[in-house]
Amino acid sequence: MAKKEKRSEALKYKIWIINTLIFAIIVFIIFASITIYIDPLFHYHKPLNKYKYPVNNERYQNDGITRNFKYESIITGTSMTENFKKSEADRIFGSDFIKVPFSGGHYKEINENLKRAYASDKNIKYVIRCFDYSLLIEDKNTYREDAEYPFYLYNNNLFDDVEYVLNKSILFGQTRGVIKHTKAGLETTNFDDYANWNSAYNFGAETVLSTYTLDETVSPVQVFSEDERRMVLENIRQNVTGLAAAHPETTFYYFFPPYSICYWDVLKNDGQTDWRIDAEQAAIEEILKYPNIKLYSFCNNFELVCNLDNYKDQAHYGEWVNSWILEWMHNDEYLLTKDNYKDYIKTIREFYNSYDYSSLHK
Amino acid sequence: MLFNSYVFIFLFLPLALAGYYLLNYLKKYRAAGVFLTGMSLWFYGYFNKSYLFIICGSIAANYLLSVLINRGGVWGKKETRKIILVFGIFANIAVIFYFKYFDFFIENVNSVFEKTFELKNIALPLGISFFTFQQVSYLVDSYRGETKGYTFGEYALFVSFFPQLVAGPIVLHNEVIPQFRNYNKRFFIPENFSKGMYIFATGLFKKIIIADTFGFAVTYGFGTIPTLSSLEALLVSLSYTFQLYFDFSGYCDMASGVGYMFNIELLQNFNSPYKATSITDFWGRWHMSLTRFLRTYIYIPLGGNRKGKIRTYINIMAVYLVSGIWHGANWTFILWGSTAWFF
Repeated sequence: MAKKEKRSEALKYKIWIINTLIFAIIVFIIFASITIYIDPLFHYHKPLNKYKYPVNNERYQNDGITRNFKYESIITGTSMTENFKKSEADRIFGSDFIKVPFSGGHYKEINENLKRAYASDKNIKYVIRCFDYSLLIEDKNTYREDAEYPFYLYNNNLFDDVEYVLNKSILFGQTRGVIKHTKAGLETTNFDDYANWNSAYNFGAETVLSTYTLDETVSPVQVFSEDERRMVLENIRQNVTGLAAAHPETTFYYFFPPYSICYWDVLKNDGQTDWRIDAEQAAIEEILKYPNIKLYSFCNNFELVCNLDNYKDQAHYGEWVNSWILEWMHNDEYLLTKDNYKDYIKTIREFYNSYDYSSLHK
Repeated sequence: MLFNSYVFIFLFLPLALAGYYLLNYLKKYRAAGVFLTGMSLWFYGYFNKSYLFIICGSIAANYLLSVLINRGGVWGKKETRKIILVFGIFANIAVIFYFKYFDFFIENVNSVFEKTFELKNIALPLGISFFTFQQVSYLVDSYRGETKGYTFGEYALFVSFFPQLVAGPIVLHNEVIPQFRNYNKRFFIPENFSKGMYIFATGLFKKIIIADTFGFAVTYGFGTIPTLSSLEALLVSLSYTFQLYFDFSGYCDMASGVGYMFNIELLQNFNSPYKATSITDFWGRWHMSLTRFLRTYIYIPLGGNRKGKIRTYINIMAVYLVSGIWHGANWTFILWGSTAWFF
């Protein structure tokens, strides 16, 4: 009798376990299905027509945009490209662009995203991308340290997608966000507005000068070493020219963004003016070997660089500068070639070494 | 690997349970033990592969020392047992000190003597305090003659058993090894398994829903300390109090739940500590396995309350000082530990 009771007791627990597991699996399936269907990060498909999507999270959404949207050309880069407008780029270049910038993204991160675009069978006509000087002299595999990377979105491994589809922050944040966005009658964010920060800041000398202070002591002049040259070349070859060599069908519009004179002020004080220019020269010489890369630099547009009304801090310029950059690139103004790049380097070296920086602080 | 991670819940735990019960079902009891130890090392090495050298070295060295103690010392001299024990305790403490306090020590030397010795920025292996204290208790018990007859496999499983490996409770050999030796517990027992699932789910809820939610308030509050109003500061400090409790006790619940799934009952580590009516009562309810360790292996061997009032106070202070050091490499913890005894 006791044995029988024990057995029925065990059966009771077994039924409880099975029921609980079935219940949990059903909850998981419902939970996952909602996110898979709406797909707020575009991991599985492009936006559904019946929903309107807020596009506001570069590191979570760019990969899906790159793989699952329909387009011909790409604008990518750091915050220096965030204010570009798709509508302008489409008009000027006669193409159909997406914009997938990575704020503070290092060369590797941006290149990996471009590789994902090609891996998803896209036939890409143009790539517009910036090269930040500040990220040039560093290891080729460096990622931004303070950013959060959902690497589970950056591969084709179905198993780690569990981190996406059974993620409460995604379900109650992004997935619910799409429903709320749609109910509020809003439209899916367009690529003019996506990541555009222009209206969030003030521009002008007062603002820019308040964002930095110089070290009291001027640093000794830093020399661009052979190790650093190797580092720059490795960075460029792995994260820039490798892709250009593999895809001759694409024209790459690459540019060095015009940081303000205040950026050069800090470099001068830190003894790094020539160090930076030497690194840029090394990069230019390597990049110009590839005929399908059109390389531009606007650092010799001194009128632009020295007018702090164009800037919100040492480096970031307003959206109107992005508009000029598109026009200039399309018209091949400020284009660097094998014939003119040495003159360009000489010009900026002379200018930024001899500029009267003290006049900025009067 | 964390209990609340996807890889643990959807891959590691089902694999560990299936493999363990299958081997036991086939009556391969030894292989089941080895399998579970291997899985535990995978669990631990998932954080950082190099940690495996530390835990494996620590297990092998401590087992060797316990064997020497159990054999009656070396060179046929019984007195050497004590020397081995003292050496073992110091060696274990030295390992913790190196990983946990070396940089703290250098920082203090630099600040007191105005030096600039470089910090090593040593990555602290997770749970090192737990498995080291556990092994110190084992050495002491070996000296007391209480650990004879355990095989290396049993010892390695006792130390590395993954549910209690990184966040406790600090279990004793006589609580865990006899349970693994009981072959009736090597089979799937629905009652225990369902209890385990229930406790695990409770712990998961405490950690993810309660602690992490309080965590948002804490992160916000700690990030805006200069601008907090008095009421906000009070709420942030209360939030931190609850976050700390639900996080730790939730994790211990998950450990206990997983233990039950393997038919292994682990010590309860929390007993509603915020219902305590005094500091003494609180320590009887909070992180109870640490309190027990400190009582059994520090307070009582120092004489407890049997050697007069002054010695009792000194002993209590020593216990809290060690507790303060355990909790973090920071003067605030040491100050907390050395003043908490007063209450």
